[in-house]
Amino acid sequence: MKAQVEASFQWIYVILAGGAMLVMFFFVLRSCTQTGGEQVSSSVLRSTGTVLSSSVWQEQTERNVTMPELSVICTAGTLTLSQGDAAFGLDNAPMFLSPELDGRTRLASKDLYLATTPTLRYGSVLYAISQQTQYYIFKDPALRHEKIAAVLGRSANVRYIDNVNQILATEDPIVIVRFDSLSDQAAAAQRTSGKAYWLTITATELQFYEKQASAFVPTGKAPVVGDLFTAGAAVSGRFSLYRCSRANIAGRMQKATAVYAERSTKLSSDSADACKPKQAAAASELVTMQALDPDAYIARALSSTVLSDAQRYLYENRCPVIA
Amino acid sequence: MKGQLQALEPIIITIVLGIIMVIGVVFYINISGSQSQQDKQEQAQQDELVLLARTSRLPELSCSEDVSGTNCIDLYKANALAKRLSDPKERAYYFTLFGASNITIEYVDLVNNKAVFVPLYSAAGGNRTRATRTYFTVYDPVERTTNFATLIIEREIR
Repeated sequence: MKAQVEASFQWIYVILAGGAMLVMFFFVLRSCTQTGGEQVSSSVLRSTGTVLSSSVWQEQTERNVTMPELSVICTAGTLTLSQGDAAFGLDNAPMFLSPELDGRTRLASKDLYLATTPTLRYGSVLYAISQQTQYYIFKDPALRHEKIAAVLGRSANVRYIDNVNQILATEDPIVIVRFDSLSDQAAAAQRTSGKAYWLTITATELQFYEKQASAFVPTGKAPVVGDLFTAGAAVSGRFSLYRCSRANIAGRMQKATAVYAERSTKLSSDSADACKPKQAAAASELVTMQALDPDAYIARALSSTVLSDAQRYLYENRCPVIA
Repeated sequence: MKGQLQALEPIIITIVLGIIMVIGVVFYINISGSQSQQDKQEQAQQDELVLLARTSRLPELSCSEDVSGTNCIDLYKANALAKRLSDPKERAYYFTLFGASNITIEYVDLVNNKAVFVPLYSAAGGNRTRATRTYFTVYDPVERTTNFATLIIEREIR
């Protein structure tokens, strides 16, 4: 009888020790799964960021890629990809991204020039247009939507419409672009069911709206500085994303401009005598541009006649060109 | 004696099982550790390729519109960028593009018959680095000469 009781006690110890080991094993497994999940999120973001960043530097990118489900946000002035708690900053990459990326995403890069004619190629701006975000662009009589069409392309998620009735209620998120007019905005607010962004483009201004409750609320405005940026505003949808991307692009352009200025200054002393005055004029203009704020810089960079005149002269006289 | 051994039997079994489980956990951690090391190496190789592609297409380095051919670095741009990158503030901006690496351009000056090094960017700490090389042409816009060049990117090994 005593031996039987002792044996039962032994089994109680075994059960307790086994239970403790099981609990320990469970915690180890859980922490491993949690760490693994975080690593996967971080690795997915890193890979996506790498794909986007490397696509920026490839000229004439035009391809579809499969993206994981990601949100695009602007935190502390940095364009950021996020998935749950994990985030990946795109810092200075010149690109416009859809508010949310998922599934098939069209990557298209367009060349950006410091002055219109003749060309001073600066580099590329990348547009990541997610199939998940639906773009509805009102056709306007002046055909200004065609300029956006040239950048966005005619993919399945970009539709050109004549009236608000063509906006489907099931799409989410949705970006609606309208030229000059705010008409139909109230009706569009009623017809859309999920996240919706509205962009009004006038000759001089981009006005951003975001749907809150059952109406579109203005979120910010920015000057119109060229077709590539206007198309970028449509891709971004949100004012904060557009502003973040525009600051990135201006920052990159200003850094390149600083190098061009330094180079032109050196060339104005090293080149042949016939080349020196225009090299010096270009250097002076580039130095002035460096000191401007991002908005003023972009506007001047895209329209400077000093740069385009100097570039034309340098081409024609077989001098080293500005860029 | 036999009775005592029989009484201890469950405890011995538990201890043996515990040892097996501990060995299993240690084995699993080792395997996942070596896997993550392999992932890191693959990631580092991918980063190097991306960095090479980026550097070669950087508007601050690539040849002007009037020069035909790809994989071409403008010597005046390279010198201007190197001068700017000697400022720590500028280096901090370019850190997001180049990361912890050293980038150098090496070319042969055929006129003076000597090798010239242009140290472009330096941010790799530590002694252990791995170098990746790509072959380019370096163009002098004033002399209108083209020389064979090597773009050397050194990255830290962690």
